[in-house]
Amino acid sequence: MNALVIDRVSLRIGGQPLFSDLSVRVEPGTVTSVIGRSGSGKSSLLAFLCGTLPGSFAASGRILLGDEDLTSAAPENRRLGILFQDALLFPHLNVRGNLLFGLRHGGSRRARRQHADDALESMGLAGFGDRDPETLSGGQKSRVALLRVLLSEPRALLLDEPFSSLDDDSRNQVRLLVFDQARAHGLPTLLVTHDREDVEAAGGPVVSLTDNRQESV
Amino acid sequence: MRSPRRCAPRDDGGTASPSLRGCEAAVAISIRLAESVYLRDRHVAALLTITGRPRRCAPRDDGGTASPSLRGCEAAVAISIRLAESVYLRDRHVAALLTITGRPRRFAPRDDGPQLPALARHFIVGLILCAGLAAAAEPDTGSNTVPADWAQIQSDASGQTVYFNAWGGDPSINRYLAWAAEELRAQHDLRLVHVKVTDVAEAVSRIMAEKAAGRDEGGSVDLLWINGENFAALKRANLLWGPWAERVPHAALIDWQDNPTTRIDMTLPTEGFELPWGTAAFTLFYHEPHVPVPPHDPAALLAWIEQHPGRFSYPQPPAFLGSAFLKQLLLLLTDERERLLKPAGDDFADVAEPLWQWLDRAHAAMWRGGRLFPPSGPAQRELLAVGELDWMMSYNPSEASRAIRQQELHETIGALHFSGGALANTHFLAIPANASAKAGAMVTANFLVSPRAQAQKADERHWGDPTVLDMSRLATTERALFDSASTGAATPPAPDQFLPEPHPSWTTRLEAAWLRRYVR
Amino acid sequence: MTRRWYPGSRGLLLAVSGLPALAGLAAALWVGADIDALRRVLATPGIELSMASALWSGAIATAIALFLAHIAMALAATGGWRRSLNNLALPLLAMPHLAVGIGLVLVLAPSGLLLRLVSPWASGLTLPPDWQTVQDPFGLSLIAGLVIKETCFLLLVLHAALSQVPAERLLQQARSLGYGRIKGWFVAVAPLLQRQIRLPLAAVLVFGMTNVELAIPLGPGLPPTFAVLLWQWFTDPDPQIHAQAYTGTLLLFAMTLLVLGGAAACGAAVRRVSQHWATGGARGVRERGLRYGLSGLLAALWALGMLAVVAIILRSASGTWRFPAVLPSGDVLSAWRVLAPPALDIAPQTVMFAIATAVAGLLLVLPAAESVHRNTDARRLIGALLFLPLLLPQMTFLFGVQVLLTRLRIDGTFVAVLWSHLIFALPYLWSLVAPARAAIDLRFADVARTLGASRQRTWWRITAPLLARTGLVAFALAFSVSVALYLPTLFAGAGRVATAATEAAAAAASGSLRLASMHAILLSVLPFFAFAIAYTGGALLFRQRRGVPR
Repeated sequence: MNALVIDRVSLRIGGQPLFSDLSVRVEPGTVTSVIGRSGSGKSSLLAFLCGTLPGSFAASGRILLGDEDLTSAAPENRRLGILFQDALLFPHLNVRGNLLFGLRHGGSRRARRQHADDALESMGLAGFGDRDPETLSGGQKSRVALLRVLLSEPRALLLDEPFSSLDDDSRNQVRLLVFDQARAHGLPTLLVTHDREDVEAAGGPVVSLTDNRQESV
Repeated sequence: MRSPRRCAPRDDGGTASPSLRGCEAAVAISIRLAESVYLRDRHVAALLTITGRPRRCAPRDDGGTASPSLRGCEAAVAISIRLAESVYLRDRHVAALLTITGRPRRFAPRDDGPQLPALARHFIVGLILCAGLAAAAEPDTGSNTVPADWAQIQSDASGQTVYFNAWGGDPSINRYLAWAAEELRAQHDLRLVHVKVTDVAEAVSRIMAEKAAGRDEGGSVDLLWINGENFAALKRANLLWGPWAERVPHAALIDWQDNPTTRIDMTLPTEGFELPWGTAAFTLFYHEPHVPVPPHDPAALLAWIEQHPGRFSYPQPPAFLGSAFLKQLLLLLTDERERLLKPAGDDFADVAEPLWQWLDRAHAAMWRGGRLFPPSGPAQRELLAVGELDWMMSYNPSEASRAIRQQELHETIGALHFSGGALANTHFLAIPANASAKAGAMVTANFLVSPRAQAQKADERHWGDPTVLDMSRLATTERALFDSASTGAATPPAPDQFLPEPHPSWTTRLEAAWLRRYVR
Repeated sequence: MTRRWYPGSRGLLLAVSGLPALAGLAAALWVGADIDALRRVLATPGIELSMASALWSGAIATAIALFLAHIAMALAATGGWRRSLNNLALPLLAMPHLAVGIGLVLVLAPSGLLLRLVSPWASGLTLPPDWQTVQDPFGLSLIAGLVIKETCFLLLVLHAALSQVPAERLLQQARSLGYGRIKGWFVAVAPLLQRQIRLPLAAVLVFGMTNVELAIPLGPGLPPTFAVLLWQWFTDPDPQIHAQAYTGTLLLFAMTLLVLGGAAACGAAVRRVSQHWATGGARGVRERGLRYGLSGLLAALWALGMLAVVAIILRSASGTWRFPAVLPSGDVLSAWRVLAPPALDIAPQTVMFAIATAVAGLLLVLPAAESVHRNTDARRLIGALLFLPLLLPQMTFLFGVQVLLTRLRIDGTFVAVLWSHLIFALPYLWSLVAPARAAIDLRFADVARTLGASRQRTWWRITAPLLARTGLVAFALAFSVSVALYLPTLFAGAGRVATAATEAAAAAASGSLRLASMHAILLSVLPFFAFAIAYTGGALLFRQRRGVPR
């Protein structure tokens, strides 16, 4: 795995800078947290990383994965997995369908199915394959979403406040699970949050975007 | 422009025109009379319009003061009838007068005897006009005398709205009817609404739907432009009101006697249920540069078609011009022309055979290989205009001239009637049985066959539809209106012979057989 | 709890829409059930071809239009493209079917604009060739016309459905999992949108099969499509043939039921295939060629539609226009001077009906939408019921409607025509307004009420402003539906009510393309302005407030 590098990135909207010259290097297997109050550009940073930044923003700077420059690559070619606040499971597919949607191409249909079911079992969701995503609890949905991302074999993981909609109990569980898996897969992980507990649990470097300034903590 | 003569010259008409001055004088007197007896101004205006005279005095305020005793008018009518009887009017004129005034006949009909001089005829017409107008001048003051019938009709018509369902596909016809509406509003205080139908059958089916819904009065159609099958369908179903056609004053000017198509609509007697409005003769038009030698018979036309693949077509039957083309061809190709006037029977296949032979050969060389046809006559005109076709056809001999004037066709258009005779018919006005404004419809119809309206209609600058009026029954001034109507270069001379329409059953059978044969 | 201020609104709404449809269907069944007539219908030469061409052109055109609409949505899903897409589709959306039909004939025919543009310098043609490019026996030109119109319509419908589906985020999710724009759209977003647009889609299918507006100018001629054949029978004076038309409409109705059933089955099959496709894991990232190809196809269809607009304008202004001249000869102004006044005379009446339809429609729909905004099932049910009349072939129930109106003695009146227009406008009004009303966060109203506002005040101050943009678009849509309605105006108006649509149809049917073009311009300009005003108005309203729903 390669490090995810944010190289002197600036974002502006309507002539107003959100932040400028942000440089962060996220090593494989570590979690870097980006904090900042609402409106400081946290989510826009993630959209810029994903390649889905709306045209109303002006951006400069580069995104690198190791030596590969991703700045102008199409979103689907970047292979950066992202987890949102809500799980965004596709409602027209069942749980297994959602996982298979993420799973990379290859293998027989049967083998793929087995792979998905094994993955479910590994997360304590054995037998959930045929369930309608709408019938799952918040924590379960988050775990399925995590699995879906992991099965797509991302090269880095982006987390957009993925725990904020969960209740206290499952929040801790899911948080630990996500960080463990990120480390286990050696993924450079960038967490965007405004929750101090998240930052503490992540345990890695912290970048603050507050007041257009970045400070390494 | 004169109405084409249909048969032999009349035996009575030639003598009619010596001194029209007397008649002119009569009209002048009637107008004076009308002015002096405090007619409402609009009646005077109407009279002036009808007679085509300039106004000599300033219009008066249309006051409510207008009602002299109707007795004077009654007397005038009585006198005119006496006069009519005594001066050897034709019996049918007397009958018409009696009908118009709603009087009982007092003696047995006479043989149509010696002819009344035109002078007297016109004098009487003038008197009647005057009487009618005087009666109409009587406003609804509940007079205890019964007004004469036509006068009653006119006063009933005033203020009515007449929904005239007429084909609305031609801008110049629409403009003509807009002109008529304006005239009717000014003369009769009557609102004429042109309901523009794509096919009069639409209106026919609406009348039928109204009947199905039990609406026997207050119907949505007051007046129809109609003939042939549509008339037959309504008459069969008893959905027409009448007989009324011979009761309108201007009916006296129509060429009933010598133009049988005014009385017989595609072999069906009209019996007074429809009023002739215009005449038609089947005419072919072509792009002159491509047709150096115009073919005057079906064989020559077929030869041209085969020499010029893809350049000829005809509207798809049952579009009425398409059906007309089939009938026209059959009339020329068959040896049994008389047979077509009687209903089609078991011999249909034999009689029609020459037509199919002609068509089979023609279709192979026609536009789109005979597998697609223009949907209507005007659609074909459009194809001729852009250059896809070299031919079009119409029942109206002046159609091309008018289209050229309107910049809808280029100028190099020639026209011809087949030398074997042109299929001819008349189109009519009819009033549905459940019409809401029957009086208004009659007044409208009467206006539409007035010399002025007919002359305007015959003028190619306005419409270019040949008149149904008998020129010999018109006053000089009226005739002059027709003389000033203009004729374009692409209008053919009147055909050598008029061929009456076959019995409608032939049309139906031909259309059905055509579909069976050529729909693949 | 204060008394509700919309009592009976649902019942009224459904009665306005449903009564005529039911009565119409009943009357059609009553009059049409006639074995002899059925026998005659089936013995008509070429009847199988007529039915087949109606079915084929309707089904194929609907499938293609749906596919292209999704493609356009997918291509425009990211970036500011969606707004542009709407603007591009607007002229074609505003142009009624009849106008598109007339325009396409003027473009595609051998004597049409396309060949003129290359003649004679490139093609060597000085006379139009004898090619069957319109009214072809396979209905290809008819399909092209339907595709142009229905793609734009489905775009509008899909756009409206976006309020129900977080399409952008789902697509973003799919793309972050490595899926390309097109495949991502089709596997992650389209299935969800599809559920929202089933009824309008069915209406498109039924219209495609049963329309006369496009089938008359563009459809095959010998034999014509079944609907056109029925229309010809309807206008035949012979009562026997007339009876055939009524029986025929029942056959047409049966056909549409079969086709709708078939379409439902197809839909299920497509869903299964698409799931299979979605879970196969193939990313299909090399979409560039496909994207260019499809963009090109969309652009070509759009250009064809716009060329039709140009052709209509040219034709209306032309005197004679012989092939191969590209521009008409003659005095343009004089042609317009003659033709424009009658066309403009019609405008006030047309606009009056359109505005009355839109206003009355909104007055019916808003209270009912208010009454069901917390109840999704009721909302869907009402939507489905309102759409039922659109799933009937127009001709099948319009005859019955005519009988009903005649019985009530209101045929040919303003109310009758308005009523018939409402039948066709209400489903679209509902499908825009009701979901938008339901999408407004319930808590806004709760907050307002707890702040002491009455129910009415809450509606006027909170709900109405939030609905304003949707309301404007709905108004424009109802307006344009009304302007374009031909058969309903004809039937309910007893032929007495003239609007731009009836005049254009009369002119087109009689082959006077110049006059028809003139009316078609009016027919297109009115809805265009309605939409333009709605969109600009919507953009101006709350332009500083990004949170107000679009």
